[in-house]
Amino acid sequence: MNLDTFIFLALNGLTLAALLFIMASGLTLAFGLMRVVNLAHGAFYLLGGYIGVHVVHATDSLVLGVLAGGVVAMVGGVLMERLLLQRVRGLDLSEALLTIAVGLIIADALLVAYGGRPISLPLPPDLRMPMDLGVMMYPTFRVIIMAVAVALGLVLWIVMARTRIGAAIRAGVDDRETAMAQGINVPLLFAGVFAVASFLAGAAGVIGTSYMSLSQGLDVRVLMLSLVVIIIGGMGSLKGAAVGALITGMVSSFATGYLPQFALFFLFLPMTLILVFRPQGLFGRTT
Amino acid sequence: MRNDTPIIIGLIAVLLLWPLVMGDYAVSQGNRAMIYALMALSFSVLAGRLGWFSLCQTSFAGISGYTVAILGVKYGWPAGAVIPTAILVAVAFAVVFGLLTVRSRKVSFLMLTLALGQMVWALSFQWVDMTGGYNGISGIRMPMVLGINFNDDRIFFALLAVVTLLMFLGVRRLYQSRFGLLLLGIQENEERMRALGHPVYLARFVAFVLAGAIAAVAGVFLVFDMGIMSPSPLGLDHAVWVLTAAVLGGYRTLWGPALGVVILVALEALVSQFTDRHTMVIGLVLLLCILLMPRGLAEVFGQFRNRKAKSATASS
Repeated sequence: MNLDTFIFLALNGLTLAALLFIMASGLTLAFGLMRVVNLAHGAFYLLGGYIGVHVVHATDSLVLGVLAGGVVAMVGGVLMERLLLQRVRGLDLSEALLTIAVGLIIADALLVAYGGRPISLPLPPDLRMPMDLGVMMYPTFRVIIMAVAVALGLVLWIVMARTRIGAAIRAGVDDRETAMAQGINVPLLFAGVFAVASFLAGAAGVIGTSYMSLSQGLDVRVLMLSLVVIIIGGMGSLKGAAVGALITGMVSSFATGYLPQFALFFLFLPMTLILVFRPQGLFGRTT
Repeated sequence: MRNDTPIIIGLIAVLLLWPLVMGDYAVSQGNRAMIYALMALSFSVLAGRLGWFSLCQTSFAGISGYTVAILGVKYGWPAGAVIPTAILVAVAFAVVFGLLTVRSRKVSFLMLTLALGQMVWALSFQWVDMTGGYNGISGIRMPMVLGINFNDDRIFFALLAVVTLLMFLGVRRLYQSRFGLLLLGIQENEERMRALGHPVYLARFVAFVLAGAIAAVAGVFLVFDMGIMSPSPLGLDHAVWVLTAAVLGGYRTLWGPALGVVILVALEALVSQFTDRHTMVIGLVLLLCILLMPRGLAEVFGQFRNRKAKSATASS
């Protein structure tokens, strides 16, 4: 094992962690506020990814593609919340099962529309170029993914901790009835958070396409990885999602590099340890 | 529990007549239905008694199926050794998964079993040396015992029907037993059961392992029925298929899951004349079930029967 490989794997791990954080932050936010696990999250990721690649092809603009993917997933998420989840509000298991059903339908529809062959993102040449990081050359786009994840984490943290909206969300999480009595429109807030969460899923689908190509079954893989991340970090915790993503990304990258046959086992290991010793996750709260 | 002797007698009659009267296609569909009915039963033991919706019961079936395929085809073990080993391996996985999930509640249990089940699925993909990856392992055949060829669909049907019926009757005993009542009590009010001195975690763990064992038996039949073991039965869509069947039929009753499986198999046969988007159909059925009758058909029938019985006594 030499140092270059080590650094390369570490950078890959950071890239994957960044992507995992973008995927999982929406899921964990929605869970924290509404106690809804959106198991259609992976399907929204795939939906956003396909739409985004279309838009990138049509307009040659990556930013537009990411926005389009996010917006389409957001519309899907809001429709699902308004038309379906509202009907079984409070029955958390029914809500989760509804999202599974919606996820299956979306993923199957995407399979009809795009077939099973993998699709990857056409990156503009200047983003494909490697960039000198001081320690080694590394693809520019992956550096950008990491920057986006850090920026997203900061924005979400500032919104949650420093703004009135964030305070209202936290109040809604802690005590829904009292928050409503204080004049906070909790249902509207929920819809808003769900929209943001779905947007993040779709946008992650476009960004992630440069790292793993879109294909049949990716929705379930993305869902599984996101669940692992938030189970490690603690459901509903943003900090937890960041730490969970970092652990999962690093373990996954090094295991794939050195022991590819057992990559999955090592992915499974941190989650198992957490479940045994701290079932609520690293930063989760017991309820 | 209501008197279900007529159901049992009717079921035995149908199972006896089916291979004699129906054609080859219907018999093979019947085999498939019974295998999935066992998986739906395994799901319903947890869902109906504990409120635990599991997405990894099909994984236990897949694990025992892969064990049969690997030991039987790759290592050439005799079937008499392969089948018990396969069930033991799947039960061992159920023990590990049970230890990891025993403290979780409804939604987190669903998420955990989803993640665990999909890891098994991904392992079946990645561990190509052992599992043959996407192509799977083929050439799995039932052994000849005493000159009886169990690869014949009708003889396989008879064996499977006996095992399925025994499993359902075993679960019926379980539901009527003190242990079954304890599980219901835990679902109703965990704290109360704990305060009464019942070992809540132990009871849930035992139920989880039992359900895993039922799925493991289903997996043995599954692999012999298909003759090939590939990752697809371990996928999330199969887990949701089983969940949908149980929810449709009524997971809180004994026979509901079997009813749901029969309806879904029939529906798929019907729909396949128009479209091959089975996953979408299953998604829609699940969606409608949750919105319209979350307790399933069996309880709708049950209510209907109760009402009729009540009006009959009122009019006499």
